[in-house]
Amino acid sequence: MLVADDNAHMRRIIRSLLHGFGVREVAEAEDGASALETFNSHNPDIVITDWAMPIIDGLELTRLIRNPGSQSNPYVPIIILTGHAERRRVIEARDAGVSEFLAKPISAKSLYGRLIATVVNPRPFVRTKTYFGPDRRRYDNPNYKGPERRSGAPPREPHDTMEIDDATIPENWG
Amino acid sequence: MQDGPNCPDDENNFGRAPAARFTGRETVMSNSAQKDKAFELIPTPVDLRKKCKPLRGKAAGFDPIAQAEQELARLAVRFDTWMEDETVNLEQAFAAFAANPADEKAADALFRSAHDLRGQSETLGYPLAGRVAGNLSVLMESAADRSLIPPAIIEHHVNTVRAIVREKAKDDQNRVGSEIAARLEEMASEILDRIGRAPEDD
Repeated sequence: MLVADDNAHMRRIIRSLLHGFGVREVAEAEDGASALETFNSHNPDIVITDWAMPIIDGLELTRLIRNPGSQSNPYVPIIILTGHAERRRVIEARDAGVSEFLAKPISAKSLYGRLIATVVNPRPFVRTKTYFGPDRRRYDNPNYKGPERRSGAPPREPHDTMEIDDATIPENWG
Repeated sequence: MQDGPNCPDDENNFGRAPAARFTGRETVMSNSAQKDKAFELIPTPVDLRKKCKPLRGKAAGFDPIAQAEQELARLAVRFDTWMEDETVNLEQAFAAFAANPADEKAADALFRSAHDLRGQSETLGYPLAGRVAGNLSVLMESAADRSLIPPAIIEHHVNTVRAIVREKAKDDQNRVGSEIAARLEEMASEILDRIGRAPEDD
């Protein structure tokens, strides 16, 4: 497992939680660039990354990992941690190819829940002209009235194109 | 995830619908299927459940969440020191920013420091400090031009975080700390109204 966070204390907290869950091998990176390097050298099963990091942030790291053909495993589950809990942030992260969104403060329960989701319910991946990443539709919404992005139609404004269910919203969503 | 937690099964899926199962790569065409308008659904190539192994020496009733909380509790003896470290980081970041408010790198560093505190103060046992630091990070993030933020309001936030940590005024039960935090939130909002807010991405 790879933990990328520029804050050493947060990395230590996450590592401790992971050890509690029984995870034995945890690689750490203190910024996005070294995370990408460690990702390619360690081939982790899951990536946990902070959003706000210098130079290459968690979102950019996600986009780089999801770049098909350029990384060792573009399908790796990516959990993004952030102090941002706004809905538009969730959407932005999801459109970058993030698998799970976890708003800080994190807890053992919330982190475990996201890990379980990536292990038990991995979403299939979608490749379109403009997107490669986890299927952003967690269920078929018969009431969806937006444009069919997958048909190659021009993307709408980001907010309008999202279908978010409760499972995507952070637990402490206001 | 070697030697990981007891492998969860589909019954322990936190209320989510089971994932669709695919037997292989399939290309799905839209209703108005045209060759150049295809999208592709690809099953994840690795089943992580197969990488989970029972933990050696753990009883069947092993509770990974409780175990992780115990790990965190063991770490908690360091949290006051870590809060002190984070507060020093915030003070240093503010000093660099105050010396040159137009320096984007300094502004970014100050924002990240406040943002870090926002995210981890509650875990470290100082939610009130997280509230104040969070307000500072919102102020810096929402301003159309961060160089227009009066340094005094930033300094008030930094000093408040310092006082909270020094006095161990950890949460909203501390009346003075809570009132100061509320006042800072009002002031930040007024300042943003005055100097202008950055347009949201959406």
